[in-house]
Amino acid sequence: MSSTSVIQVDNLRKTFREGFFRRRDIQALKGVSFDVPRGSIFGLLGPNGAGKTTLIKVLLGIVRRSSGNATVFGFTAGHRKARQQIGYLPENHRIPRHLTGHSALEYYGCLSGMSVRVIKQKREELLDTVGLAEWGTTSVSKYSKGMLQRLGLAQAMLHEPELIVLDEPTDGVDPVGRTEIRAVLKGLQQQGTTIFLNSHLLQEVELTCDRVAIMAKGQVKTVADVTELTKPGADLRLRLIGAREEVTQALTSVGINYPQMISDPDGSINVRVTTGDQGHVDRIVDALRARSITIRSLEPTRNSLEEAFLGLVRESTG
Amino acid sequence: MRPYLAVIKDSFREAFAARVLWLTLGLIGLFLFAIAPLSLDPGLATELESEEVIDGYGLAAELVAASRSDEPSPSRHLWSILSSSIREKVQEGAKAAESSSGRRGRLRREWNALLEKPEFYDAESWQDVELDDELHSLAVRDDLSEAELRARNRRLLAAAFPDHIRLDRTEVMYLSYFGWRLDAPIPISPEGKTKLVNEVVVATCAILLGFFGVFISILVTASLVPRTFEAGEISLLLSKPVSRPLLFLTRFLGGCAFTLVNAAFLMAGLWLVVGLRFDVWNPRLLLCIPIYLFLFMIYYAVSATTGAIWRNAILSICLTLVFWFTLFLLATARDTVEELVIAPNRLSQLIPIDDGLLVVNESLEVMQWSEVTPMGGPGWSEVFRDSGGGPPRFARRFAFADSGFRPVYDAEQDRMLALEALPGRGFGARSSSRVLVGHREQDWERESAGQAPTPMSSIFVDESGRVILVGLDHIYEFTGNAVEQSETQKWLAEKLSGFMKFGNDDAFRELRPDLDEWKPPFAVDMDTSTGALAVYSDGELSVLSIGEEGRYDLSATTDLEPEDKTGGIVVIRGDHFFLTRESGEVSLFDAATLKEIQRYTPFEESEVEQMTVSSDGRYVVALSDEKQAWLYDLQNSNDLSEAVPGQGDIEAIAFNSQKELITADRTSRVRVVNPAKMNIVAEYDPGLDITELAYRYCLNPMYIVLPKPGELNAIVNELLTQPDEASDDSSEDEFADQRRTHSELWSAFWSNLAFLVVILGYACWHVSRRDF
Repeated sequence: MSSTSVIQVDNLRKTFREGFFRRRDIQALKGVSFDVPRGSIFGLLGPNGAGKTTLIKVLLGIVRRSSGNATVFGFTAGHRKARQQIGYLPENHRIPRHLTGHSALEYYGCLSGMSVRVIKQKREELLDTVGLAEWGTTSVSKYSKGMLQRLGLAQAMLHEPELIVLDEPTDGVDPVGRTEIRAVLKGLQQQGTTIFLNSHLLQEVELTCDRVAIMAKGQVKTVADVTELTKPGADLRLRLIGAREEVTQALTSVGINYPQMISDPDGSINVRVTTGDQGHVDRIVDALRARSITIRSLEPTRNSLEEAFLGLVRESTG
Repeated sequence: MRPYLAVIKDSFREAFAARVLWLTLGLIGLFLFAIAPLSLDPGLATELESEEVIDGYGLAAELVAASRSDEPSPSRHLWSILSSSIREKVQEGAKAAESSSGRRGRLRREWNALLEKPEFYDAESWQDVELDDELHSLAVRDDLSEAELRARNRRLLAAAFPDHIRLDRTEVMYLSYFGWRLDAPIPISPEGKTKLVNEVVVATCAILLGFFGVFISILVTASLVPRTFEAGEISLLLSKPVSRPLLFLTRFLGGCAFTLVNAAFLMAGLWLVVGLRFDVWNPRLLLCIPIYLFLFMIYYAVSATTGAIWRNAILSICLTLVFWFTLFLLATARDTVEELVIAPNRLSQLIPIDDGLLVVNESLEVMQWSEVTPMGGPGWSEVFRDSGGGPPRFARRFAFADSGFRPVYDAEQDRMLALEALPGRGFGARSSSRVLVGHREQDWERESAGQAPTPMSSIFVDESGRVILVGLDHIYEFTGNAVEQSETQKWLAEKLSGFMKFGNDDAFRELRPDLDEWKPPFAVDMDTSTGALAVYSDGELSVLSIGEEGRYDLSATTDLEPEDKTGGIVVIRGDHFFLTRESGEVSLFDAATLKEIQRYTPFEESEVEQMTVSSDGRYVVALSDEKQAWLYDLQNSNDLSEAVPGQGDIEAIAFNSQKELITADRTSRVRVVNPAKMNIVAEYDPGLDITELAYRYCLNPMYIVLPKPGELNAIVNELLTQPDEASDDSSEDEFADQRRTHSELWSAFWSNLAFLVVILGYACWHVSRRDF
């Protein structure tokens, strides 16, 4: 494990007991291990019931682990000193309705150990950062869901923690707001803050995160950089002009049977083929040109995070 | 502390943000506004109260008798001004007087109707009545207002008939609202205003805060803790660097903010209104704020704990109400069983006889041990039974609480003797005492042996068989054989005792030397071997020994030091004169010189209720009001208390002629202990019936363990209505009652506090262990 890791999780397990008369065990985490590098934006992906929220709650000490180790800033997960350096935005959080934007920040800031004077100095700027500059004196009972998310993000950032844990931070936020939140998170990262992001919006994770862990059924299936999961794949996308039969024959001659072909209205044919090595690509080009088929474009395809995610999850569900 | 102060501050913020708080504050404000115009003003007493009409029928009889006389008198004059309808009623009352004893309040309405007559006073008729100067000047005035006239006539009536009318006050209080005076006066003197106001405030607080306040507060605050522990909120809170138990506790305390604000507003408002309008400035009223807050905290602890566990406000309210109802039922059930079953059966006196034991329970039933009772097994069977009927069994101990019924055994004639107090009734008859006798050979059948000329407080039998009766102003030897009464005389003596005097004075021989009358507090004991009497009378100790012709002579007397002038029970054995003190100490005096030679402290903070010494003077045993026995070996200066069985539950103590200690415990069990060998030599145990078992092993333990929030109302009552300290003229009984009450109230307070700590401790433990 790296010494620059903010979070270190090793073989972490959590078993819940359910039922009053007939007790049964439910294993929410089955030996989870990963590290979160300092200064990164780390995404946690997984289908519903994968154990993501349980993992976050164990890291914050809200849920006690059954076995294994989890440390945050070198302290046992849940330790008060670790929590002092964490800002947390829970999923479906509830800010008491009798508070205003200002008093909510005062309340949560004091809970984090800040003085009221410091909170008052910072809250206007912070509300401005999350787009609530005009709403500080308004009761949160009048806030929309997206505004509550922004306020939740503000309280998580208020005490300038070194680690911010966000559970579905853009839930209920409009696309413009999401872009703004992404910008805020990037800004925090530039200031050295580590961000641990749990979201089911894969595109958002792909756009925001440096590194992700994909969980399924209480286990981590993979931990990798986003660029690694989305590296160029083995498929080629070709745009050809020529007779459809000619194209089919040319590709069959180089071992590609039943290629996917879609004709465009302008007469061009879009073809996606799976290739082997570079020699195979050269032979495809030669075969097409030998039949006077014009190659208007040729580009390698790129895996999306969604494809990688689905691939891993399907693999685990068998 | 900053995070926890933030939680408390947030609770206040939430309380103020809640509309219901403003609603309750508004209602309290309206209530204070509504009572603000009330005032109590002094005025003349114009009505006779029930307790002031001592003997209305007697007065009626006097008026009727005077109507046949020609001599001018108030009775004759008043008869002459009576209306015909009232005359009829007065005549009926006069007839009733012949067959009915005096009861307060008789014909009160008729006497009050008489007061409004302007011709009430007639100088010739009242010429023999002693009137003070003020009343005399009022009597001759004819310009009195209606109220002044009634007040004057009221005083004239009392002056003319002091045996029948006894005025408690000349001024009463009138309740006014916005200056409008209510017609009916409040029968208290201006001096009693403070007490009345405080009692009304106590009742108001008990209803408004003790019941409705707590109920509304529970409804309003029930959701606070469950809401805090909802998934969306608790995750956020627990992610902060805060302690879970402290988070719960501060949330709990914050929840109390609602009650605090309301209680403070109401009590401070009441304090101001009562102070400004009634001139009763009682700062203790403000102390009720924390007391009612504490009361609320007990119920809210249940609500909050339930809320933390199940996170459901409805369930919190339901369980809190169930808890409330359970405590109420438990206290009611325990008190009912205690009053109807346990207390009447509880042994209070032990009377060793030659070959056994007689006992007396709190219903004043005398019993002896029987191997076969009508119920089947061994147990206590009643003897010396009172065949005169009287109140129901459970009420006997209240009805005869001051009767001084303490039977003694006369070994010489193998009989039992007891004194029965006879209250004075009607026509100014004074109270007296009757001597009851029961012989073993007649199966202890109770019979009246004579009526003492004056009230007696104690009866003793010395070893020679002399029966000595001691009262405040007489010492009699009861010979019981001087005058043989006829059957008619006996019947009359039985039926009219106290109403008319039928004493056979020749059966009572005066033995008292020429001394001043003894005064209460009074206690007396006899050394049965010598016949010497030890007396404690209002700070004075005396020893009387037998002199010529069996009469008593004062052999020693002394006044206790003014700062140490307290006493309770006296015991004399040989040279030893024991005196129990209010402080719980026991002083030992030399009986010859009455010099204090030793002082023992058998109990801390407890009063001695019973004390006796073995016949050889070696062992002394004392029983505290905490039911603890102190057994001391005077010969070896050794405390043997640990050897006494049943400590904490002992109800009566005695020594038998073999110098063995006899104790009664567990309601009706008696054990005989040999103090030399520290072993139990005999046991009389009738066992426990199902009700006693339920009481002893279920109701009482539950009552002890569970909190007693209702007792906090009693603390408020104590706080507001009792004086700061026992005044100089308060009796020892009042002082002891006050101390016992304080002790019980503090016990209730600690019990409630213990419950609060336990339940909040459990909640903290649960919260700290739980996954959210």
